[in-house]
Amino acid sequence: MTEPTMLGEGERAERQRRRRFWGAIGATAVFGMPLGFFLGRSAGRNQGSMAEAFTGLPPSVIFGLLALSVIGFLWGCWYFLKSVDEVEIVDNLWASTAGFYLYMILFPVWWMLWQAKIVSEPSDWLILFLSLGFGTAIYLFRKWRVR
Amino acid sequence: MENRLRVLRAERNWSQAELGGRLGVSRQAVNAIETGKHDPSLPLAFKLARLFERSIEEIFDDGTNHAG
Repeated sequence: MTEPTMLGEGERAERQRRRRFWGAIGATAVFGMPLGFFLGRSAGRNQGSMAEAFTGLPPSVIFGLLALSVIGFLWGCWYFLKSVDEVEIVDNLWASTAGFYLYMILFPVWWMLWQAKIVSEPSDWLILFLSLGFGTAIYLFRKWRVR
Repeated sequence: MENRLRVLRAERNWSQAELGGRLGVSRQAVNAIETGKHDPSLPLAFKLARLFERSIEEIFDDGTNHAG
């Protein structure tokens, strides 16, 4: 496909940068999809529970799958940081800091209330999802406000 | 921080994407700087200054330029 001749040198560079970025997102998705499919299928075979997704698999396969996921995730993070500009990095820093602070405040407070027998035991998953959700909300707010 | 980026860009008839490409940042980043919602890092400010052949103080005004 030929580039439209009206594009300036900067616009072409910006277009390439965007293409590289979305290419990396696509590659990460293609990389993660077979793993997700495998786990989903495995979970389906085991009464539909994700907790049972690894049942019956040899430890070497489980270790291999997890290693693959971690390597893929780290590669994605590295490529993301390499591809994005400083505004995107600042947005990410705000989002991760907000999520981290929520985690740091919520967990000990909940834990102390639990120790005082006022509330039930802290839910790790709920705190994790709330932290991720709060971070994402801050990220989207900055995107919406800044752009 | 106030700046003259939009004017300088218009003088060269560049779009935000064009300027972003020349600086190695996204169009959204250029917009964020132009509207004063993001203060650029020192390396990016120097890049802008070199690109427009102006000093950083000629492009950005932190409100103290005319104080003394």
